This record gives sequence, structure tokens and C-alpha cells, in this order.
Amino acid sequence: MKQRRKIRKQKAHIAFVLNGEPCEVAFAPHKTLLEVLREDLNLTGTKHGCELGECGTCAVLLDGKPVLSCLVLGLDAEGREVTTVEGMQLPEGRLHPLQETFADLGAAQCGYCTPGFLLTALELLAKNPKPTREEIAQALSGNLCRCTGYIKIYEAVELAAAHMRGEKAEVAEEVVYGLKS
Amino acid sequence: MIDDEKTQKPIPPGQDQEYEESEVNIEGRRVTVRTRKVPPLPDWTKTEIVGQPVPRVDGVDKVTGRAKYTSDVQLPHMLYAIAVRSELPHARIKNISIEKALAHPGVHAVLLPKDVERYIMGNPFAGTLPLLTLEPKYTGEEIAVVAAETELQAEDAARLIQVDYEPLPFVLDPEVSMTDKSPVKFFPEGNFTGGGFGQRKIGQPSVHTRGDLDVGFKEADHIFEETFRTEPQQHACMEVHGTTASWDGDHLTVWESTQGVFGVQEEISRVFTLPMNDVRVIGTHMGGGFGSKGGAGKQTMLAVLMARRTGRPVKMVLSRHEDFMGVYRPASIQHYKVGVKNDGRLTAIEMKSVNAVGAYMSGSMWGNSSPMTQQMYACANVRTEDRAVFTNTPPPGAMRGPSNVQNAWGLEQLMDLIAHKLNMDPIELRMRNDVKVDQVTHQPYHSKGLAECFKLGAEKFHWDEKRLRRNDPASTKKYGVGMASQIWGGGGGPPATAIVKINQDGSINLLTGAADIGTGTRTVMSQICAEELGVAVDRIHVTNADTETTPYTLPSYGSITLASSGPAVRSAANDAKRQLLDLAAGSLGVKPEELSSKDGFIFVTAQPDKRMKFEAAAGAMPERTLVGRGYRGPNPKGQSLNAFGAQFCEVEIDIHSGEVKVLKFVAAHDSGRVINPHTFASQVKGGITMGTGYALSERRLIDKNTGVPVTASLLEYRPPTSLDAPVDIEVYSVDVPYTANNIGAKGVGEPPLIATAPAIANAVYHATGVRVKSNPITPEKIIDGLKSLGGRT
Ligand code: FES
Ligand code: FES
Repeated sequence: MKQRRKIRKQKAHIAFVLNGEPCEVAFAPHKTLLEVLREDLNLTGTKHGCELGECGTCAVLLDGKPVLSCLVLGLDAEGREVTTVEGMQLPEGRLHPLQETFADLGAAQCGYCTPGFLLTALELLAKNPKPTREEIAQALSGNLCRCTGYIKIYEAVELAAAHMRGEKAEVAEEVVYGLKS
Repeated sequence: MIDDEKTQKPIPPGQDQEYEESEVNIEGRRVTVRTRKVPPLPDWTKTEIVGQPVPRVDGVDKVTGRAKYTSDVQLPHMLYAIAVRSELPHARIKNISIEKALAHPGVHAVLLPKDVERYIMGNPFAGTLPLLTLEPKYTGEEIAVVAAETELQAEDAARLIQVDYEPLPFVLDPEVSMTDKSPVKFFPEGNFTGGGFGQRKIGQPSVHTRGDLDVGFKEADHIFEETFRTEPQQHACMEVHGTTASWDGDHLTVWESTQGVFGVQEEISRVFTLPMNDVRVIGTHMGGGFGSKGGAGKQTMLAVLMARRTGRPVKMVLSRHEDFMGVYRPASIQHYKVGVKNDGRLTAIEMKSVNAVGAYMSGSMWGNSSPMTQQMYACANVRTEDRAVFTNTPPPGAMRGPSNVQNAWGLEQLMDLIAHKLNMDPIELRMRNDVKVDQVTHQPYHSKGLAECFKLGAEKFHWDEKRLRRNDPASTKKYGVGMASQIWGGGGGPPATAIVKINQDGSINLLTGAADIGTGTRTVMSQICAEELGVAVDRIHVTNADTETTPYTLPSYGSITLASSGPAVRSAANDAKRQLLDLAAGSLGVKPEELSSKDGFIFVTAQPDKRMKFEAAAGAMPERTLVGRGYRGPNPKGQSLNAFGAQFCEVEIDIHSGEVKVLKFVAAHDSGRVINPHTFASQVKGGITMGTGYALSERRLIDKNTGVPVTASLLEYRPPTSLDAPVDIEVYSVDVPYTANNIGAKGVGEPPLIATAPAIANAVYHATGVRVKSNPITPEKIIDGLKSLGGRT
């Protein structure tokens, strides 16, 4: 009995908006937003790659701005809006254009870095609907990917941006067959 | 894992005719396995689905966060386990006090070396590793492990465990360790052994020798003596190593971020003497491996033991810091002496390599850097010696293109150096020493498209023109181009089994044991299955890398996944198709041989309008489910199966800052048939980026005075970010026909990384005249090099 009371005292309790819906959650107050999302809310789409702010796999949007959720306390989300990869889909479960192009172009290889890239790119396109390749590379420079070499990620962001601007766009074919062409 | 013992198993009597021997080359190690003969299938001439840029079948799972990785597994009442690791590079532990840790809230158990000493990982051939030790031999070696209800409790408890060390002398530098001056004696016979997969003997290098060096050097018009060095490279997978283990009675389930669930299952079953059917290993989604996750890790065994001890599921995922104290590509020092004729022909190559392989025997398998020297070029007189030298550093392991990546750094720069000296095009020099026959095994290559790679790559890169371009002497920006070539295995082989189930509605389940480590395995296997069955890819659901539901296949290493499991998948699909055609033949009133299956229809080949829907044929199956089995057949006898490639790059160097920018890469690869241009190009682009890190930024440093790693974070280790990676990479396949397996493909996972770093180094030389012989090519090395040239550029 005594111990249980102690545990209750140790839990923090916050209310915030998670992926567009009101949400309440109780957790040990030392926990980072990343841990609260993954362990207490079971939203494991947000990944942990270092928990030191070095890799970007844990990126989420806090009031629309990308943050590294491993460096934010869960308590700091109180009353604010959090968007994770699970909240990117459009109404009726349609994929967001970024999700669509990342999937179609193979910008996700092992996919472990993908949620972080998606949310960082989401914010980039919100403030800059037509970024140059350099602007994309700059914006994504806090997200590490060990698989892709980034080029496909740029192409996916560019294509999604074009789709979001209502333009038709295609990405150039990539493997040119040597002896046959 | 294939080990030597297993390959010796006698064949069951009466089955001899059904089996034959086949050679398989895995990470440079050739093994002979007995394998089922498989009826040959005709080569695909025209394909509809294979060869298309089909989007990844699991793309949507990955972009929605639905894909569950090992580190995402959350089970009710799960505990978190954390290791207590040695703070010293070498010590004897006098005492471990755990009372405070045990009293800490939430703590369930602590395991000490004595609790686990009867469980030994590895085998006598590969070398064994203790799970926990009282005599740590490197900083970060596991001493104890603690499990608690939360991660924080476990971390705190680990800190409360007091370890009393008696520091022992240590050695980090392999060149010191090899000498009498070494403060540490690892074995009475010496501090080194042979490197690589052959028989290794302590105190002796592993040696390859052919011809007569003296004769070769006498014939030479020029003799080159050079030393190259490579630093260790860390895999730095975005998902760190991790395991979650859960017991249900005597049935164990393990989620493991691994390249091969069956190897993990075998190892667990052997270490704990468990029947294999009670060990289920699941590794469906995993966040990158690059060689580091080829088998079970210590955390696998510790999580299993801890789960047994506590009766609760246990998750043991390493921290990023711990990951940097684990497996890596070993460092090498490569001494070359090469004899060359005026016309560029090599007359003799002598190479001695020193490779730092950590404190345990297991590391010595990866302690060689001479396979390319032995194989790449025509040369009658060759001697290589590889020394795997013990040091107080963590055990290295396989990393993407093991040995060849280190070797290429030296060899491919050396070829460039020779070409410059002889005033010859580096491509021409390589072509003059080209071979059609494997120089080590004397077997012909089944196919070799290297000349095609040179030709196509040079053309697309505009090599001839760019190579002759001169820099503006007044400009502080210098431009240069360089190229390098590579060889790798990638032919794959048995054993691999696949199962294709056709359901009564015509939907299909494909079961393959192969891991998808980000390479696109699930996608290309679906394409192969769809092509053979004549249905669309979206009709297929693929289940992979689960020892309980999918059949055995070799792990995803050595670039063998596609060429091992792909042919088994095609065979299984063919087996299922034949059964379905048998049934359909009855309904259509023809013989099964007269039927084809394509575009979702089964039809009379000579009369395509006489047809029925695929699902209609499936709906008529009396059994409601039809099961096709497929096995990977043997490789052709007496041939070497290798993938080749050539890469060209252009760099820009600021001679004031010494900064190198990679402007462009053109990569031409010979990997046989491309099953999916997207996944093919992804491998090449990702490999080149990793190679760029190896060339320019990645560096694992250990403090010489304390033996503690000082670059144990992503920030300090510096894998390429979006601002460091090459911005422009063109990828080509030379499409040289390959018929050694029924899908016509060889691997492309590792090849792209092998030629990258030397191509960059050669371009740096071309731009500045500075030959950087040790990686990474830092701005300081360039500035120093320019200084010693006396501002010649
Ligand atoms: S987990 Fe947050 S930056 Fe790496
Ligand atoms: S896709 Fe694997 S780390 Fe980016």
C-alpha cells in the first residue's frame, strides 16, 4: 500500500494535443518526450537512435516546430501540440504526399531514420513550399541516414513538394542500362 | 552459419543422387556445402515484373511508423537489462559488490561472470567469447548485467554496482603489440595469428604465395614500395544492437535486430542446449546491419538468461555509446612491394599486412587485407602475409566488404600511383593486368563485366576529357578526378529454402527466411515470385526472417541474399505454379505443358484467349491451399562467381582550408541482372556515401594513455550527414548476362563501398599532387601534403 502511494506521487500527469487529438498521460517525471511517446503511449513510430540529440531519428513536431524528442522532457509537452509520424496521415487514412513519395521512391531503406526525416521535411515544406536542393540538405542535416546516401530523400521531398503545390512532376529514372541503351 | 564441421556431415544413404556439392563464397570465405539438386528452370528472357522499379512492398509500413523494429517491442511486465562494462582496457577484477544495486527500487536481478561462465559464445574455429568476464581485455567489455523495471532504474543500479579493478598493462598499437616491447602477452606463442578464414596458427601470418618473387622483381623495370594505412570503421547502424527475449514456459521468443535469424537461433540453441523448435527468432524489420548483425550478440544471450532468471520478458538494447564500443572494421597497415614492366604488366607483388583485431581470437577472422591483392590482377609472382595482431580493443567483425575495403584503399591507390609514374591511363593499366581466370583458385569467372564497367563508366563520366583538364594555377580551388575498381563475391548459394502458398482466393503467401536489412529483400523476392507465377506483386504477401514460420536460408551477409534466396523463391513459385497448372489443365481440357500463366490469367500458350483467371484456378483447388517448395540449387562447378565494378569521382579541394568536396560519382557495376533498379541504385548510392565517410570523415580514436574510446558518439565519429555526402551519384549496371543461378543476379550490397575511398584519394592526388596514404583524408593532411610539395600546384 505504502509503495503504491509513493509511485502515484512520482507520476507526472499532463494533457496535450497529440496528432490532433486531446491526450492525457501519466509518466515518471524524468522521462523524455521520446520515452513518453514510445513507452507510455506505445507510439513507437518515433525512433531512438542515440538519445543524445545527435541522430534525428526521434524528431517530432512540437507546436509545428521540429524538436529532438530525446532532448525534450515529457513535462514540456503540457498544453502543447505534438505531431508524430503516426499523425501525418491525411483524413480517411490517405498518406501524406511526403509519405507517399518516400515509400514510392525508396527513400526509406531500413526505414529507421524515416519518421525523423518525414517530420523535419514536413516542417520545411510548411515554411518553404519550393525549397532548393541545398535548402533541403541544410534542413535535413540534423537527421542521419546510414543507408540511402540522402539523394533519394531529396528527390522524395522535391516530388512531394511539387505534389503539394499541385504540380505534376516525375523523378528521372535512375539506372540507365549501359550496354542496352 | 555454415561451419566446417557441418559441411562434413555424411549424406543419408540412398540419397546421394539427389544431392551434390556446391561451393559458396561468403565474405571471401569459400565453403563447400552439400545441397539438393534442383531441376533447372529456363533463363528468363523477357520479364515483366523483374527489372521494374517496383516500389518497396513495405514502404508504407515504414513511412507510417507501423514497421516494428526490435527496439520497438514492448511487452507487458518487461524488464530492461543493462551491462556493467569495464572502465579499463585491461584489468583483473578483484571484487564486484552488488548489494546496493539489488536493493535499488525496481531491480530484479544481477548476473555476474560466475553465473554465466558455462555459456560460451562462438566456436573453436571462429574463437570464443565469454559473456561476462573477470579479466576485461578492452574498455567496454561486459562484466555484469542488471535488470530492472525501468531503464532509468537499471542505469542507476548499474552505476551502484561497485567493481574493484586491479589495472593491468595494455597495448593498443598493433605495431607495438607484435614486438618484444609489448607490455601484454596474449598467448605464449605470440601476439598475432594469421588473419582471415584459413587455418590460423598463433605466431604465424596467413600466407598466400604463388610463383617466385625474386624472379618477378628481376623481370621488373620499376619497383614500387609503399605503405598504406586504414583506420577502423564503425557500422553506426541507425538502430543499435538489441534483443528482446520472452519465455513462455520452455518456448523462447527472441526479437533480434539481425541479418540472420537462423544463425541467432542456432547459437542460442547450442549455447543453452535448447531444441531449435523452442527457439523462435524474429527479425522482420531491422534498422541496418552492414555486417555488424551477422549473428547473435552477447546481449542476445544475456537477455535470454536474464529473462529465464527473472521470469519476465527482458529487453536489452545497447546505448549509442555502447554501440561504439562494439564491433567495427579493423584497422590495417599495408606494406606493398610491386614490380612492374614498362608496359604496365605486374611482375611481382609482395604484400604484408598488419591488422589490429582486438583481444580475442574471434577478431582474427577479419584480420586480413589482402584478398584483392591476390585476386584482382594478373601476376605470376605473388606473396601476401596477413598478421592479425591482438590489441586491447573490442573484437572487430565483418563490415560491408570486409578485407576488400581495406585492401582497395592501398591496392587501388598503388595502381593509380603506378599509372601516373608510367604516364598511363589508370584504366589502361588495369586492363593490361586484367584476368579472366581467378588467380587464386585457377577457375574461370562465370562472368566478368569489369571491362564493360570501365568502358561505360568512363564514357558517362567523360573520363578522357576530365582527366586531361588542367587546374587554373591562380585559383585556390583545385579539381581532380580519380577512379578505382573492385571485386567481390556475391554469387550466393545453398542452402536456402522458400515456400509459396496459393490460397483458394488466388492470393499468395511467400515465406522466406531471408532478412531485409534495408536492402529491399522483401520487395525483390515478391517480384521474383510474381514473375514466375504470372501475377501482380500486390497479390503476394511476404513473411520473412522468422524461424518459426519461414524456412532456413543463409544470413544476409556477403552480398549473398538475393543470389541465395532469390533462386529458391523462383523454384518455390515454379513448384506452386506447376501444381496449379495441373489443376487448370483439367478445367481447360488441355495438357499442363500447354499452359502458361501471366497477367493474372492461366491460358493455353498457343491460344491465349482460351484462358481462366488465376483465382478461378485457385478456387477449384480441392485442398484449398497449395504449397510450393523451392530449394537453392548448387552453383556451377569449377567457376568463380564474383561481382565487379568501377567508380569514377570528381573532387573539389580548397587549398587554403584543405577541405575536400565530392562533386560527382559515376558507378558502373556488374552484378548480373538487376531485379529492381530502385533497390539496386539504393545500394550503390548508400555504399558510395559510406565509402565517402571512410575516405573523408569517419574515425574511431582510442585515447593512447587510457585506452578509452574518445569518438564514441555520432557527433565525434562523424558518419556523413546530408551536407557531407556526394550530391550527385550516377548509377549504371552493365547488364552482362549471368546464368549461374535461375534468376541471373549476383549481389550488390557490398561492392559499391569497395572502390569509393581509393577513387576519392586518387582524385585528391589528381587535383593537388598530394597522395594521402592513410584515411581519413583530413584537411590537415592535405595542407601538410601541399606544404611538403612546396606549393608546387
Ligand atoms: S535519439 Fe534523439 S537525436 Fe538521436
Ligand atoms: S534508411 Fe536506414 S538509416 Fe536511413
